[in-house]
Amino acid sequence: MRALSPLLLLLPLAAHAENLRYAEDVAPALIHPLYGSTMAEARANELAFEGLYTDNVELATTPALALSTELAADKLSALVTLRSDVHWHDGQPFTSADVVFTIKAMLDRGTASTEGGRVAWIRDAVAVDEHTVNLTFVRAEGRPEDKLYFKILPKHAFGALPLKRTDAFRTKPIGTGPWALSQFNEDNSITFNKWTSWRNPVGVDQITLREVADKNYQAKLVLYESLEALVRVLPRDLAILQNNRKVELYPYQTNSWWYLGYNNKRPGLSNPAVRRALSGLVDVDSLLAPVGTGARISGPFVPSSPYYNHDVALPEPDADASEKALTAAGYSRGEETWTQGGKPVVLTAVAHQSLESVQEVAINLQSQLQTAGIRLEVQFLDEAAWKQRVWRDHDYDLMLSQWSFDRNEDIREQFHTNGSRNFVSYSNPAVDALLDKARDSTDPYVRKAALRDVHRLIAGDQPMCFLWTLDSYAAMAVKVRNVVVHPFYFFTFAPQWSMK
Amino acid sequence: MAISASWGLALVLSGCTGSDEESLPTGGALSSSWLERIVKNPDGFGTMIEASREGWSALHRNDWRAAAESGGDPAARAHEELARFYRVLAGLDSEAWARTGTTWKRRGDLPASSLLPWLVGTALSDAGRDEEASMWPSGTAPTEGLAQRKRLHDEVRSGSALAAGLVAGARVVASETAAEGQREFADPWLLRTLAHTEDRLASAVAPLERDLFSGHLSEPRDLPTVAPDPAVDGDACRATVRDLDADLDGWRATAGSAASPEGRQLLSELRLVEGARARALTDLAIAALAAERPSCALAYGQMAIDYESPRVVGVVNSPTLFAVVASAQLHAGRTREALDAIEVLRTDWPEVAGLDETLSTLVVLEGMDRSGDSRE
Repeated sequence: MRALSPLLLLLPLAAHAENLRYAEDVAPALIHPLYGSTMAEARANELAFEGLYTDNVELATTPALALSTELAADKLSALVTLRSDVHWHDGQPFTSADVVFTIKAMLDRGTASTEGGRVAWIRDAVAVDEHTVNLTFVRAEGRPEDKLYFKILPKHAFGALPLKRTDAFRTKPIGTGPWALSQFNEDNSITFNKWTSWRNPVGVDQITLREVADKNYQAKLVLYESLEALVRVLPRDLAILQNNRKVELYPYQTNSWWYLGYNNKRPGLSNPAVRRALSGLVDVDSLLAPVGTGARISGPFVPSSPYYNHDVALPEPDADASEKALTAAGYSRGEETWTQGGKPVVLTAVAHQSLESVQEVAINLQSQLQTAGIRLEVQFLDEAAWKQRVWRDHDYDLMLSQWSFDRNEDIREQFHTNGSRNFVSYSNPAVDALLDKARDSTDPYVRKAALRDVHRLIAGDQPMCFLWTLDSYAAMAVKVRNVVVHPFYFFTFAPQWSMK
Repeated sequence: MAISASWGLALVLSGCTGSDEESLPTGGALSSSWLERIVKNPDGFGTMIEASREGWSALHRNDWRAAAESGGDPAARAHEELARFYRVLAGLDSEAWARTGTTWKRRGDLPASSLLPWLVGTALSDAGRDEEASMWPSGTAPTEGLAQRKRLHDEVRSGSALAAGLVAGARVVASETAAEGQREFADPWLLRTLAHTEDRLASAVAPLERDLFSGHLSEPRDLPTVAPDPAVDGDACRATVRDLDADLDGWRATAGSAASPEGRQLLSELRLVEGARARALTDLAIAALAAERPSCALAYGQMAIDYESPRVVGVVNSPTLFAVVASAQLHAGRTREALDAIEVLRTDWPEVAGLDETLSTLVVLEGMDRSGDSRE
């Protein structure tokens, strides 16, 4: 596959009457709900796959592949009744076997999916009949349907468990969603066609995901009517798009924040005082200025979060305090660089190459640390190298990345000692205990207070230098009608969209 | 107080010799609006604001507290704006209390001994939602602290006490011990008390001063016919904004070509059209909220925001705009997003701290049984 030049992208494609074209910085290499790790993959999954339950436009839990759920009196099990009128994109009927298979695949540690945590509350799943599943739970559940959002896979498309990331399914996905994958195209675009057997009307015939690596071109493509939708508008393009009468902006909440993660297992970086000292050398405001509008953060939540602890002050650069802390930790300040054991301190920072504005941020960061006497070697990694180096091998000193959360803002997987997305290897028993308390509590006041305490403790430990949250806006051509954007998955309500 | 560059310009213009009542092509809906009157007669505008330039400057940039301190017509207008702002927030607050109570009750584990049910009933009763309030405990305050607080609000509303002391303690007016920690409750009366107070301070002003920097255009804009589906209703309301924009574009083109240089400069330097547009859309959003059309209100609110400075109150983005967006989000089921709009106000308006806490608790409650999702 090859990417087209930006100029060629400006040429209108042979326009399909009802083809909605949207841009992603990088087209997903796979479309597989258990192995998608990026927002682009989550959006593509939303087109092709469904869960047992989903959000309605008022973000209340509503049945999708399920019809209803009957909770047992002891709340330790539930019978889920499935729709009987659903077919997979290859025409096979959807049954309870698919639900049982998906849950078992996710629970199987050999599947090695970071989605596993989403079914960890289920002890077992058994097919009662073709369209009924009995779920038993690890502990009592009040409203299990609120957790049954994970996407269901077709059992018949796989062999034995565990599943593998390399299964052929990743490029030949079969879902039950409103659009079925048509093809991965030569220009890295991906075409989805309306699934005509979907149970409700679908307003848009075809959706095309276009890879537009140069984000500077994305707004132009919308203005030249070569795209109908932009998932995220660059701050510098907001004014021109807001003033264009053929385009409308839709703000939406992704609860995303940027961070500079420290490898908490590396010598030196395992010491919180050293991590705090390094954070004290970073002028976050200067890093943020060229990136766009947003707000700085002092911990692992965005400032509008119920869990954000406003009593934790935003750290300000403090070279003197950092110098004292590094000296106390056994580092020496040479004429130009810090040394330890007689060797200059050289840190390796990795960043995903597709992260918006990452090169600008990384270079500015490198410059700031260089000035402070820390040499930083920056490596920009592609998707495969990122997963290998960061996810699996934890082979880095610093990582520049971002996390996006749905409205539950559940940071357990990122910061619990056993969290599946704890790529910085952070561990603090007090934080673990509070995360457990927050998860188990049925009192919203208690949960809120526990997670605000988590914010305070994590900010003190600095497993990462917390940077900022950016405002997110989608842009949509006016000809796309009835648009309601889901704050996290974006396309959840797209079946109701139509093209004028 | 610093005078912005645009106001410096306005003051300079007030000494210029622009011709009065130039012949200007009219633009339909705006042909007799305050916008047109300013562009036609920049000298008159300069003379008018000279009497209270600090106040008008503050009103122009939606700094109502500064305008209120300035006295005169701008102060009266600012009190009106503040009253409306607090009314929207008070409505949002009572709705947040109501949803917190009903959501927790529906879950089946609302502690019987908690103060929360009484606070929910009180918030609803204070909002005049008597039928809903009757579903909750009422009557004598369950603690002396709450009783004292209520008495203080009654005194402020009757005019026998000042509201100044109310804000500081509003974030936590009562607390109780739960099995695993503390529950802290915010003041359910505060925002409505502030609305009462500001209403008393507002008074009528002269015609142009009545409309200057408002969303009142020549022809009143109406909500479109209601559509039962939220997405369709939002879309219908977006269409009316497109109509308004077409009118404004047309008027700006004709006014721009026919106005004096001073008039044109006023128009662009003070961002008069952008400000009027945002205020008109805010008015429509409030009407949509009153008509129980949150998707419509959200469409107006979102299309009103100046996305070049989306987290800042200024010439285009007023505090009421953020309050309206928050309210529309909550009524549209998007409680978490309501917090985003409130966050913009949190630093400069400590009055919203209690509302922020009540909404935050509701967000947590609504997500209590959910498992989260996160991506890189």
